[in-house]
Amino acid sequence: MPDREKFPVHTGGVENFDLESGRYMKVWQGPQHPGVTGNMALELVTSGDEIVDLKTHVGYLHRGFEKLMERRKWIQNFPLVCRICVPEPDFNEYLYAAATEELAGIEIPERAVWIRTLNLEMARLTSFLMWLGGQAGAFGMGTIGQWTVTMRDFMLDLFEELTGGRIYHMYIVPGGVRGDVPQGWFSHVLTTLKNVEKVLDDIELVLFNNAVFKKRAVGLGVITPDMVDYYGITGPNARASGVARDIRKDRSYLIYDKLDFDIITGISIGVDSDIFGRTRLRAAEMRQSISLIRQMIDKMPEGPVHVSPPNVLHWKIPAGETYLSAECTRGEYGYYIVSDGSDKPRRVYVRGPSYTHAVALFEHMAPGTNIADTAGLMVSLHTYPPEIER
Amino acid sequence: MSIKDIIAPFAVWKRAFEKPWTIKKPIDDRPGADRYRGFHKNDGDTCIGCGTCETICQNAAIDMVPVDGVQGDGGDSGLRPQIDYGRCCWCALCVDICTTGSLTMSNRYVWTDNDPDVYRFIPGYDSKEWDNAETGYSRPEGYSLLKEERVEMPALSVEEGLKSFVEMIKGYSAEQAVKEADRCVECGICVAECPAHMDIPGYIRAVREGNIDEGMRLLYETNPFPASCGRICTHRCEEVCSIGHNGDSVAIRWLKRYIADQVELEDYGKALPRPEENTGKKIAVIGAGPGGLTAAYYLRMLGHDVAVLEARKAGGGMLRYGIPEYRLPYDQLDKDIEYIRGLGVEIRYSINVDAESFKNLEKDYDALFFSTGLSDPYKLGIDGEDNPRVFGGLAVLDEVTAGKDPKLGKTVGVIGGGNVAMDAARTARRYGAEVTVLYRRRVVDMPADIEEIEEAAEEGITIIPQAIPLRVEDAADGKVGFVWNMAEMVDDPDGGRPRPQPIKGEIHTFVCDSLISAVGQGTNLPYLPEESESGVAVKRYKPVVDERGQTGNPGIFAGGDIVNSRKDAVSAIGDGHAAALSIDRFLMKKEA
Amino acid sequence: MALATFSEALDFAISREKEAVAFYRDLQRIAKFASQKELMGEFEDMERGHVTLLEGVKSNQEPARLSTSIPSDLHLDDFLVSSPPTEDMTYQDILITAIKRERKSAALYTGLKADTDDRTLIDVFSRLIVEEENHKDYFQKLYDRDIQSAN
Repeated sequence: MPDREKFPVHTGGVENFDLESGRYMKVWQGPQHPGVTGNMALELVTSGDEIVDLKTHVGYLHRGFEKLMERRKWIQNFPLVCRICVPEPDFNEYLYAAATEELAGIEIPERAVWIRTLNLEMARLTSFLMWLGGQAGAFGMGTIGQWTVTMRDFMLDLFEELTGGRIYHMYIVPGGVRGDVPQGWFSHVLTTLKNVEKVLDDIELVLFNNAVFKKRAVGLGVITPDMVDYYGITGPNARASGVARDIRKDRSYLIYDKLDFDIITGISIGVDSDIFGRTRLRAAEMRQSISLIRQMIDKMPEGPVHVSPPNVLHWKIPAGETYLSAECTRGEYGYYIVSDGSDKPRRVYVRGPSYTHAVALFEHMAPGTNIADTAGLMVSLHTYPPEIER
Repeated sequence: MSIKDIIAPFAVWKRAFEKPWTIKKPIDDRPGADRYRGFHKNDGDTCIGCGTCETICQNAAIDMVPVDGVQGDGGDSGLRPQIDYGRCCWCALCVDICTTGSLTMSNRYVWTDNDPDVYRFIPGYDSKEWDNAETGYSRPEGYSLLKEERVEMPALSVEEGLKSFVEMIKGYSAEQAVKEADRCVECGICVAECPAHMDIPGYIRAVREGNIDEGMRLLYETNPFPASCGRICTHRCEEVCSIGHNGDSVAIRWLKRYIADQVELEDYGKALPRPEENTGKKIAVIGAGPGGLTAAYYLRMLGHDVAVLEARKAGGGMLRYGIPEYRLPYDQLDKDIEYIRGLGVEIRYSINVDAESFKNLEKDYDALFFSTGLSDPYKLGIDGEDNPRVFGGLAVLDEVTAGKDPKLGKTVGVIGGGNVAMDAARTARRYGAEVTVLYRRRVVDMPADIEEIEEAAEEGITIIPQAIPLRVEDAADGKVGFVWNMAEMVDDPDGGRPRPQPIKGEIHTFVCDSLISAVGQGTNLPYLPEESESGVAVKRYKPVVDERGQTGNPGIFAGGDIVNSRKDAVSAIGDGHAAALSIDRFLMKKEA
Repeated sequence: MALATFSEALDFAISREKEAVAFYRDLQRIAKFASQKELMGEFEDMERGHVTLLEGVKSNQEPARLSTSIPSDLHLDDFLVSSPPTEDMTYQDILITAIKRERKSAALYTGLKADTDDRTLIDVFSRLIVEEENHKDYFQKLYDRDIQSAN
């Protein structure tokens, strides 16, 4: 039985507050607001500056992906899936392709697996760059956002050179990847990583040695270890509170077992799980990504990068189901795919980690905080509405 | 909180003294990466309008549309892709699957216009500034969504094949057939090229899905000779197959054979429809070759009574008497013919029709169809060709069909370059002779099927091209000598094919035991009465018919080699089918 | 014979064409099958057209309407052997006969041209040779296309 004393239910809590009394005010933050991380509405009830209740509203970004995928042939879905999550589309591409390959019994060449992993780590770095800008910006430090988005742009240049697209790469496909690495690309990657590192150094200097940031972010938005399992928290949100969970280590997929890295937790870098600590943790994970990318470029094997599936116009995949997950920047990203033996998927369910973070966890954490901090709190949970409702 | 926490943030100022990162587009150009998926380009000359791009597009952004100046013929549908940039997401699946490689992308990504309708355009025809862009996305090396290689067909080795007349092609197994059928993209370009317009994508799909009954049904909708055509068809479909542009064409003929081979004759009735109710109309068909029997089949299915009159002792025409057994075993031809007969078609053998009986048939039957083929060989037209060691190609093949040894001797020369010449040469080879083929023009001009020429060469048959026949003379030891003049090919000023011109002084004699003349066939149409009596007009030894086989006399129809210029079995079958429908319309007074 | 004038030369040519018309017409009489009669009738009409053409040339007193372009020779006639006409001539038989006839005509005019010094006659005969070569070429092309498709 959940501890309702400690974790009360939040349903229609707004009714508990008499809005006519003059002591409370309802404020809508969103769905279109620079202080939310995507189209999502926060129905806040404030008492002065303090938030006494939060009700989240999702659904503004429901585009019907999962249904669309049921109406398209297996190969026709890879251009769709990347659009589910814009900052890091590669996780979608990878999970869809890998689940399809598993159901179809296709094994892809080794180099393709390495390139996929490289892509995912680059996507992680790129996504975190945008996040970092958002986190700083939510507390009024807009300059950092300028820097990180620029560095992200250089990362997107790398993706453009490799895949032919900046944001929607459509590069990881069932069967492998779509074309080998172009001449000179690895050296471009290494150069860009050096530049990113320099900027990260600068950011860490001005952000983590920043009185304003410390005053606002330390002690705010604390996640305790017992909340992790209760709210289904994954990713940096969980690791910052000391829970050492990382799918890359726990359920080693792709070629992570061949790479040298440790799980970063709040304990291992000496921070608490407040907004400040989580920011420090994510910055450390960005450096971890850079190290992983360098390792992969160093060790990448030669070979083909694609094995062609049966004729994709009438490719029937044997009936079955599978669930694959990957560690994305926000936590556990999962694809549950069911095939009924026909040429189209029967069901594709996408598990976005933000659902629990942005709804249940956020509603729990918001009361008692200052309304000025709502944006910063939301960003620190690294919620991403498009993956909530797809 | 330390002093550092108050001072450190001012370090952001250092950016003010560094070079800005911004690119001032459009003042500064910023081209897309080499592989960038930008706006589409299509090479109109390479594009065949197969429409596979339209099929794969996951957002229905592509429509195949007719374009002014693009003709739909000979393996080109005449359509071209029109792409709607309101729906396109630039995933490049269309480029990946393009069968000819004509569709690619430039790396351009900026297009501004006031008129929203321009964004639905036909790449390569609505000219755009990126049409000649050198960089952009095209299918990457080593990445293919199509299977370029055909599943190899098991066959007898050359040594094995030469020992007898046993069928050389063994046929696909179920696994091989399904794998080969999977290569088809169902574009349908083959359908227009097939003289019988068979539903090729349909029956290939039937093979892929293991639905043999459906396959049989689809075959018989347009062709009652699947076992025969599945072995010897000239497969014009395969010449235009879209997969054949960048790989091996789909083995359409072998897949057709696969379907027919799976069903025993007695089980045909389970898959195939029964004839319609009897109409009381009677049609006489002269000639039991593929043309005549096909007309008979479709007429019978429409409920009419049909009597087929055949001069020879058995049916099939050139399929039996021309094509040797190692290509088309007699029992397979008999299977096709027997099914037609079993539906109630009366076939009378050893009946020779002359002008008198033709007129009687016209009186006694409600309609007439004649498809008698080309049975009179052309002469060499040179001195000495009445030499007893000169034999006609068709005559030799006739003898072999009757089971007799043609006794050609150890060395044989075959004059001619068509299928009859190849059949005669390879038949002579199987009787142990050393065979040389002498042809007037170049090998590339030979009208025989390319496979026949290649297999003949594999079987050790020498081909001497550019050999103009001069005369035939006796040679020592009872042999015969073929005197020929080596030719050089000279361009035709009228733009036709190059012609052989005799080279002065290059006269040779080829000495052998037997010479086979296979230079073509014609016919006198000896049974046709005058036009004034029958209403049937003749032009240059061919009956004059409309595109549906009807002659000047509305009740008389013709088809097959005597009418069409392609002179193969499947064209005769197409003619027979068209004529049957035409006869039905005429008899039942239906609208076209 | 002595052909001294333009008109006499044309009369001679016209009589030859009329003879050709009669030749094909007579063949139709002995022909057994409708196909033969049709082709012979076609060639008869063609020869009749030649008669009309030459009559026009004669009345205009100048050879402007005769062919000027010399066809490239397919040289089929060098080795083709013809047989005397029968009641069941094939397409091949009739074409060979036609080719041989035109070749003979051209040879005849060549001889006549060599025999005279008259500039006008030389010119007329040259043009008639070219005309016959064109006729021969027409038949040879038909032969090459329809009879020699397999060789």
